[in-house]
Amino acid sequence: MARIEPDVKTVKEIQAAGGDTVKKCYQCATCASVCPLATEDVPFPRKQMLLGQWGFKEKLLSDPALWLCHQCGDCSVYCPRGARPGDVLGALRNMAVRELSEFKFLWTFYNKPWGLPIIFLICAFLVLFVMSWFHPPISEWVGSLPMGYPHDEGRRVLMIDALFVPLTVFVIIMVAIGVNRLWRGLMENAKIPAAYRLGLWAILVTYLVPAIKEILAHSRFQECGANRWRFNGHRMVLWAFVILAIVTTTVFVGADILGFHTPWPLYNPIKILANIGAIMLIYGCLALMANRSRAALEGSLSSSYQDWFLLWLILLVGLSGLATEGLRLLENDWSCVAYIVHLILVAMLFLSVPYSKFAHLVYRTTAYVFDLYSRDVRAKMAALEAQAAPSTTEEISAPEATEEEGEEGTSEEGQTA
Amino acid sequence: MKIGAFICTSCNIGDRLEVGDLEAAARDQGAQFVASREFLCSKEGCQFINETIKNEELEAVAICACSPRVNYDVFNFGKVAVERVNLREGVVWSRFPVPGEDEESVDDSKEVAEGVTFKDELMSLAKDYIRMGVAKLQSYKAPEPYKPEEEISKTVLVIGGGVAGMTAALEVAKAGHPAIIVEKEKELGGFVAKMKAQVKAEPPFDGLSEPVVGKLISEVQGNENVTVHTGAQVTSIKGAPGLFTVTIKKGGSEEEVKVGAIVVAAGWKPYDASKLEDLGYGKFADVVTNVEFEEMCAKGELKRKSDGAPVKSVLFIQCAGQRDENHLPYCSSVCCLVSLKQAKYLRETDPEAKAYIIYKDMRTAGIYENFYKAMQDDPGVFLTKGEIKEIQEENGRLLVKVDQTLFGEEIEVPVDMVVLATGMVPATAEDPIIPLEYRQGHGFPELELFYGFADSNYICFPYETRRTGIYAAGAVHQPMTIFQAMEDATGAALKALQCLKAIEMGHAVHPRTWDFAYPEWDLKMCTQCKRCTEECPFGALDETEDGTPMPNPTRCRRCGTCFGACPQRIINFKDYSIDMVTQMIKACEMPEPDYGLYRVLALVCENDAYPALDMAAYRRLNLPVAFRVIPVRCLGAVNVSFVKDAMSKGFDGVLLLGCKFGENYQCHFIKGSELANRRMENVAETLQQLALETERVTLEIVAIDEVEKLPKIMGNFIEFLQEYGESPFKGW
Repeated sequence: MARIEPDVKTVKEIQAAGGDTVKKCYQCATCASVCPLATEDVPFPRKQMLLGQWGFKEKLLSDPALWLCHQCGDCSVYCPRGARPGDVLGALRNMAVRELSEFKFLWTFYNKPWGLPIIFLICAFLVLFVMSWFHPPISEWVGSLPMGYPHDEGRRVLMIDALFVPLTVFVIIMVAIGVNRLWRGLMENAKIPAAYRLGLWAILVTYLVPAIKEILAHSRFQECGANRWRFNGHRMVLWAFVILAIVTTTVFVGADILGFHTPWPLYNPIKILANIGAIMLIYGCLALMANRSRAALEGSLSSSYQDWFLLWLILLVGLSGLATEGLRLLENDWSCVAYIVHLILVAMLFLSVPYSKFAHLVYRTTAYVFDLYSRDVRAKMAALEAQAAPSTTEEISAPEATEEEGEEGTSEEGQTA
Repeated sequence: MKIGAFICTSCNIGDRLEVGDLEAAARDQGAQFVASREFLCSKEGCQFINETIKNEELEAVAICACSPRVNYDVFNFGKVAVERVNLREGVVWSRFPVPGEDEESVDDSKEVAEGVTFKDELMSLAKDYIRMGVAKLQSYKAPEPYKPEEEISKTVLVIGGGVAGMTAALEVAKAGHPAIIVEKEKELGGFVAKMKAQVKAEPPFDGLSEPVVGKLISEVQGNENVTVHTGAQVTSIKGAPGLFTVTIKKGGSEEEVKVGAIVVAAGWKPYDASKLEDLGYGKFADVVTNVEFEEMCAKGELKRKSDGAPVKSVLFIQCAGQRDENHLPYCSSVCCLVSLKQAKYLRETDPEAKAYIIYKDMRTAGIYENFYKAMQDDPGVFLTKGEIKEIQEENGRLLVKVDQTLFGEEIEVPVDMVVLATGMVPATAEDPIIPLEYRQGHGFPELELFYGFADSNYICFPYETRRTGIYAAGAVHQPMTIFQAMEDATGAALKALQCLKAIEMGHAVHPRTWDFAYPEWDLKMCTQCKRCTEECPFGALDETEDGTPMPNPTRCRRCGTCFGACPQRIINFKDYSIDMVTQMIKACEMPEPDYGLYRVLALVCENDAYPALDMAAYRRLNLPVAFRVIPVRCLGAVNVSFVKDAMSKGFDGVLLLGCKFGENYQCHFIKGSELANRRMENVAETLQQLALETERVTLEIVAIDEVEKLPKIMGNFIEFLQEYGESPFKGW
């Protein structure tokens, strides 16, 4: 860290961002001791609290601990000083999302209550604009949406693709920028020696798969103590998203590319899967909301606007989707309105990935990958040190050891190449 | 002296002992009236004793029942002397037969030597105790309160006119006594008068307030019971509590005043920062001490000394020259609070200013955690543990390198100013402060135990110094905050007034308050060996030029160290004398030679070891039946003659049980146990004269809570004696 000159503003910024209790910490490290996820190598959140107190934002934002925390609230419950480390880390994650993102005004709209109507209007404008372009006239919407124009599916498909393909591309680019920034920060902060650096492909192959397995199983999440209840709800929401992603991809390929136009009948396995996904999404979301309220009462977790925003958004996406389907099956005219609302909400959710709390989906995954990777690096370095250690006692064999080290280094590099 | 003996038969005494035989023993020893009753401690029991005292005109009674440590209020018969013979804790609750290897249970009829049952041994112990009790009363004389010829002064002298001194003087004055403050500076107020602000001394203890000193000064000046001498010094203190003659020097003139007690509130000095060159003091103009920083803030001149530029960032180095063997080895306990306070000054002058505090451990004693919490919340206060590695100058600013931080790495902080949180050095570290004209010299003895602070054993007596009638308060006593100093001063004032009251009534001040007896010298036999004057832990004795002791009863704490020291045995209390203990030892009955069992005398410190013995009895721990216990007021009060008497009587060994001595001593009288240990050399000499093995007399250390150790210590001693066999003096 060397030369440091913190400024009071940054500390205030962290306090204002929801880390208002950060200064209460007196570094007893009870939090790091009780945290079920902190390890000897990556202990948290004691040090992160200190970094927060000194306003070392850069350092914090490139700390894997920030994302390895699942905010169970154990630390906040046991903290003797009421510093609520879990909540502070939550606030810092919010800040991190902002720092990692491009077009930061979008972050602001997503993270401030006053930005909600703006985001809604932006998405509504996008949806309505694209719709009116591809789907005029507006007077005919009722009765033809969502599944009207039986002889002109191409237009409807085009409409959806014209809206969501660019949106997806934009989101992917934004996320890629964020992940890249995060990864670089992580690498620099952890001072991973050049000899141990791996290429993108090697990283993905070696570490992304186990990371995703861990995430799907929610094995780390399950270790969280104080708010164990979140485990089920959160896993259900995640799986619902996975199911819905599979369904969407299938439909995209099936309908938009191969031309098997929707609506597919209710007995279609993909349709069944989609409905199961939707119900899981709504159920998981409701469970999370109920439990979050309870945790707030118990004091183990405080919920911010950003927390509630994401939960409500997901819930409404699920509900509006189901409503659209239901009204369509009932042949009710309101299905058109439900559909438009659903599209707007989905667009909001899509766009929120790089900007809202939803970003934890990608950044936490990145941190998992980095964690697995850096664990490996540490283990390798420790093994090397252990090898070198006995030789230091015998002066004669010392040069040999360095040679060996050199060889190892080059072979690693070879692998990378 | 007409003596009555009352034997209680309750609490297992009647079950395990033959009361008729005990009565006979008491009569044998010379008790004129003997009776046994159930529940002597009951209303009826006491009424019976009272009536008997009246009818039989008894002058002394031996209550043969429970330990003297219980029911002392019940067995109080006014002027009648009371001796408590400890048959319950000392005999029936702590001495048990041990079952043999193939025995499941055992009773008192068990044979413990040829033709001797355990019951015989138990009875012999109980009878010895009863005879000792009666013998003790036979040598008892009623004490008279000590009334000095000179008039007792009710004035309290307060040395030091800071917050502690003024508080003490005001408290004394409020209680109706005159107080004299002697302050060496020209103004009252001490260090607090130089402060910009103090940390709040009232709830919620989380902010700053104006220093309390202004209010105190006006109260002192407005109080006609308080006389103030500023720019003055105490140059001599003669006499004793109640009777001090103090010389106060002011300018060129000297004045003598009479005072009764003294409160020392001489305060502290900052540690000499010139020794802290490694922290940049003296090297860089912008490295200042916390005292200098305080003065700068108080004057409203918070500027860099080097160039007069405004101060935007300050780094406070905690424990500068403290908790460090090369400087002050202790924690001054207030500096963390001071730095937090000074950080607040800085933050209040400039909301963008930064205060860094690099600490070893943040210590804000007691309720002042609230202030720490409040300051922690300030976004401009940056705290971390750390060690200062180096301070350099760079582009006109200071660059502080800090290692071992909580960040897990070294940091470099550029700042405008560095403040060293230097510690408190008590005024008594270099100057005696109390220029006593005592034989043992000026000042308080052995303050190195407390790093020069006028402190004492904090467990037993937080206010007592080693000089009776002189009490320390404030930062000269211990490093402390203003709030603590005011409380401390109130306590010291109370102690000073208690001392005056005790002297007025003619009894000991402390810790044997209510003890009217005092040591008296039979100077005809004195050889001027000076042992008593040298060994008195409290400097109570002065000396004539030829070395004859000159007692000062009001300085005396009645420990009996002099009584233990005197080779001529000329020092005695009315109610406690060499002869008394000798008679008690002589009252024990020794078995014939080749009896097969042992007799051991235990001389036991009544403050620590004796309560431990009682507690052993409450737990029914088994102590060897061979021991005859005599409580002594301190092991320092054990005269070598007791050992000689015991050995000549035929005891096989003598065990001395004293309290812990040394650095963390627990001795009520500070030195007694240590002195007894030193005197063991003289004891060895005595034993050699008697042609006995020196190991027959042993000293062991027992803290009051080391109850479990007692059976082992005592059992081992008996085993040890078995190696030497019986004393050859048996049957003489």
